[in-house]
Amino acid sequence: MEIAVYGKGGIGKSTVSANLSAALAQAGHHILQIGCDPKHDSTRLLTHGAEVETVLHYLRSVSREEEDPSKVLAEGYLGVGCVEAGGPKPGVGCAGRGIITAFEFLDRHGIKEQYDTVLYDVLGDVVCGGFAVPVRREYSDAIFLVTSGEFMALYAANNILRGIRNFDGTEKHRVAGIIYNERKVADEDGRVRRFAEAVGLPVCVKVPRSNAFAEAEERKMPLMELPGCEAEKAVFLELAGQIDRGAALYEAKPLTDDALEEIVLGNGSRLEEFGAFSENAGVRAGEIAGAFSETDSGRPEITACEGEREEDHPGTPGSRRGSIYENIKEQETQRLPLYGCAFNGACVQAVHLKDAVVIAHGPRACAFYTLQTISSSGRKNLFNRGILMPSSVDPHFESTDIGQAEAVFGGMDLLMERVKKAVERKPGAVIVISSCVSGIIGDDIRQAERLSTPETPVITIAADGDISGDYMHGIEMCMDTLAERIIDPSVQPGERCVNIINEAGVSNNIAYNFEVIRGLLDRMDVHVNCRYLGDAKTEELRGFLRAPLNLLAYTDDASLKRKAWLEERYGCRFLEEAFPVGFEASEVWLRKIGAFFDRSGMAEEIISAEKTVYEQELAELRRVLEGKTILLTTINADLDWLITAAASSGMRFLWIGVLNYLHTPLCVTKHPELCGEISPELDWTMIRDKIEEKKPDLVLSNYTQVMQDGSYIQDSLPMMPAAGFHSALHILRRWADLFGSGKEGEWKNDSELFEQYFS
Amino acid sequence: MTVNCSNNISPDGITGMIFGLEGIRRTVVLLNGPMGCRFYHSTTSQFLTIRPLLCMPSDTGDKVPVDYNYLNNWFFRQQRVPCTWLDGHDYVYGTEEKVREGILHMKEHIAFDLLAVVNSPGASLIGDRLLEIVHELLPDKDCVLMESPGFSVEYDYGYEQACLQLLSQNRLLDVKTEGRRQEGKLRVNVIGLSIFDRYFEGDREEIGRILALCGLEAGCFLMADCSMEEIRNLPDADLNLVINPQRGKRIAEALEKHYGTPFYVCDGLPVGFAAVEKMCRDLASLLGTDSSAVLEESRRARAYAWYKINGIYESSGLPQGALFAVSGSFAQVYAYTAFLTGYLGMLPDALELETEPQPSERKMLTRLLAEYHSENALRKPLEETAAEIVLGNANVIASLTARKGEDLSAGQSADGGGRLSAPPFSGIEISLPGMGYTDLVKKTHLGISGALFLTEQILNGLMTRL
Repeated sequence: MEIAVYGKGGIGKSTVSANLSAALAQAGHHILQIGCDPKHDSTRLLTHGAEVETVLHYLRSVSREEEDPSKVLAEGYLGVGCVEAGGPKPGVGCAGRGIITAFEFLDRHGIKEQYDTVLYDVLGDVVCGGFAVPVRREYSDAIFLVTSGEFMALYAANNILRGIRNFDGTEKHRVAGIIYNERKVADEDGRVRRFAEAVGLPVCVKVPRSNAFAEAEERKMPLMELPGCEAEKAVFLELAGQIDRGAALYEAKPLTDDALEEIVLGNGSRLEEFGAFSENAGVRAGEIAGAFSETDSGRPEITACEGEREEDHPGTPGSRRGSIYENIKEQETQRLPLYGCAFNGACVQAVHLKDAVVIAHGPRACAFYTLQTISSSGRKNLFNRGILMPSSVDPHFESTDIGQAEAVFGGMDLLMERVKKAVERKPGAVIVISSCVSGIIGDDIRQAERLSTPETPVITIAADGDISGDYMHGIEMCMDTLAERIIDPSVQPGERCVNIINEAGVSNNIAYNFEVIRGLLDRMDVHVNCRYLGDAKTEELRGFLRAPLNLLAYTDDASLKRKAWLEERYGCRFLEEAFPVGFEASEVWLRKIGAFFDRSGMAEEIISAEKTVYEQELAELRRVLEGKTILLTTINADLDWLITAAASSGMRFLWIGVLNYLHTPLCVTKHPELCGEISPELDWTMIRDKIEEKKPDLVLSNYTQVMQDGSYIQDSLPMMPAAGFHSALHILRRWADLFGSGKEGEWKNDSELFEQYFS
Repeated sequence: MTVNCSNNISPDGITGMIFGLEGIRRTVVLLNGPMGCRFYHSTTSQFLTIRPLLCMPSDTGDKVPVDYNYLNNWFFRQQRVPCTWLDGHDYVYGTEEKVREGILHMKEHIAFDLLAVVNSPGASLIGDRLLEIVHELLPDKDCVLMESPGFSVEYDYGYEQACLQLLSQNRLLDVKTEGRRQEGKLRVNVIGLSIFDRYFEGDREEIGRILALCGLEAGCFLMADCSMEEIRNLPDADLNLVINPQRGKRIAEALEKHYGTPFYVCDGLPVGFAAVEKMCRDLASLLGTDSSAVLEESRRARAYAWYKINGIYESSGLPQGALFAVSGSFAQVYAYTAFLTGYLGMLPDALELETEPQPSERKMLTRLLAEYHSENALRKPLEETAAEIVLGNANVIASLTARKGEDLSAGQSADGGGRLSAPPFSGIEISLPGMGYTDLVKKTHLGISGALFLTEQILNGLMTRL
């Protein structure tokens, strides 16, 4: 049998628990008492004051292989097994997680199986999931509520009933009743009785206020062990007897807060009660009442309570309707999925400051996924093309590896140690980025900035996993923070150089595109001052303002926001166009840069040379592609580079369906006259019908799906097209080859074989 | 400056759980976590082994692929590892509602034999009571909840926990073992392989082949492309073979406790001729079978390899004395080191363990290194290695390549996109992630075929340096 004893902190539940365990032991039970309060004093009386090492403290010091359950299991009065879960010091870590961890340890080593009865002594003030673990069905068979007649004790008892109700609903009955621990407040018997009647529970025993308990405390033993004190002992023996006799179990029927107030306090008010309390405590009544109201209205009610309870009081502070909870529910329905997490985005961006150390503050899992995002394109480039991308394949990226101990006790000590070591290596900067775990346990990573030195600033980005936003938001956070902390606003523009802005991404084309752009700039004797951020050094970012012109890699929303921010903050000047894709865009882009740096002549020479090559190639392609039709589904916007090139080769788009996954306004083309129908909100179910209707020669998509009937050719379109004069030509050439051969690979016929052998 | 600050960040327990469970056919693993925790697993799992398309539930047994519309919110258009896309709101107000909706979606639209719910580390902090929800919604289905994925624990631990929880939550350990199969060949279950292993498909095939050569029938390859039916038949085996001790010993102990099935644990992964010969001799001794066929094949393979190695040895003195480095789990580092030193006469220069070894593991490794007076290899940072052969995952190999490449061609690779002029060492992938090579021919480093393939890679790796 497993019994949970819940109550408000300081109500005397540990004393009650210890004496109940002692009484059960006297009745012949082989009992294990598990203290679930971080202050770990539940079993102190049973062990005669001997300190029991807490499970959580012990787990910090041993490897899994060395775990020895006997180290945390003490034998108390009459062989009562004594275990203390323990927990973090106040204000840090996650005590609820601590309870979960301790329970897992007990299960792993089968400690509970050695006893016939288990008693959990649990703090009832805290209502997070971790502290609710003992209430879960797989743990407690019966639950006692310890309360006095004080309003807050009854309030806590009612909250515990709410938690039980949340787990059990109406079909399960597990509440054994109330253990009334007398405090001698006014009308105490009446309050407890009225509460018990209202929630439909018996008062199992009344523990009288008695000096005997103080004496037992002083002698560090349970009252059941003291000589004499027969009246007090009888209470616990009676309770043990009820348990032995198989006391009835009841449904949890919590009250609304207003009903609780009315029933318990009668005509009085809660404010008056606090007034009385505040006199003793020296705190003004208004402060207490105000604090209470705020907590009350802000607390989300997880459980709907039945019948005449909460439903009878709509709009009251404790009810769901008209409360903050309602607003939260409303927000919930409007929430959209976050693609990726801010932690990941910030890390992927930060490693591009290549002389900085980036510390991911989280479990190793978070750093592992992020490292794969960082290194994926670098590995492929290295393997397939022999191109080395140092920031991608050798990022200065570390993980604090938050473990179980940090999840419970807080991770700041671990983080500070890692940052200190990183600063000692004197990198350009140390950048700390927080995961959701560190956010949930409340680590204040900004404290690490105190470890900054003149050579090495420590910069923190509180992404908190996806709590602050999605992947793109993380990139923005990182860019903002690094600029604010590193760019030197006193640097003046002067040299013939440019900055490159927002190359962020995981595409295989980043390195290739940069090489193309740098090649064009080199031919005009313009050099790259800083890539913000792409393989940049801290010193380059510090001198960011040296460049009189800034070039956007893309003109997506994030890049345009970045542009606006830099213009407003530093007065930066920008070329409006992004990295050019295709001939026309490259022509415009190059002319503008030429004009800006007084290199127009050089620009025209380059354009002329490229045009000759381009037109020759296009003329050849036209012989194959003339008159061919295209159907396209894509997540890309701004498709003019492809549309115009296809038109120049004599091809025609019949239908373009765009998956607008960000649900933002899109500009697909400035040349609708070159296209047929355009559907800016693609519905995947339309594709088959459209193919049937339009009968294209070529079907394009970012992801190729094998579903053709042989009447058309199918190909994929890169999500991030290559930059430069000839990017569209490369694609047209491939199509020409496909049309030229007119033959599909035989492998496509083998899907039936796949079904036969592997489905 | 910051030369030594990059670490080999290895996958941890949650990845072990997800890929362990993804190693069961017709499974849906619902990740209760943010989408950021999902992408890697979804993208990777799809290609770890052959994945038939997800199908709709059917009473008639018809296989109708799931309509793409049902692969939106939870799957985000990828076939593997749907998720509940948790955000800050859920961390405060709980995840139960989303988990409930997610399970109902799977139940209605996807055909599966097992539904697993795996909490992300963040979700596990909340303490939602998900077990009851899972059992309530799937009363007649096999299902498992991984409530605590662990924080920065080893991949192998997560994998092992997933298996143990699967067995216990579905009461598969409580089955009666009377009347178990008595006829046919002796059967051996294989424990400790994972679809996340670099050459998983080849590993599985080779172990099955070796068992057949020993006159044994391979039973369930637990969590390594097995079915729930094969898991239910675990008690039918005569022996459980633990290929990777760190990943399977506890599972084998549980099976012995509940089914009474004895188990055999390999010293390390069966990498190399000696390791596989020992494994086969021990199995024959335990089960009373004949290992002569496999020992004969091993002798022939050794003879064949001798001719090739000797040719290189005569012209260059290699592979004798060539330095190597390994980065990986304890099981990998131990097994590869034993083979490269013992068989090829190479010398360990730097050995990097992904996670702190258990005391007994450290002792084993130290004892092995002491035989070659190479104890320093455990202390030498990988980035300082002068090894000619580096065994690790592609991140390790690429990272070292970048560092050594910068040393070799100073200035050339600065500012992104430089081309490497000469490879500074030869890298051999022993775990994922890989560089991006797509394997169609099944390869392995285990067993006799594996010993030959690994020797081939090493010889060719050394020759590129001549």
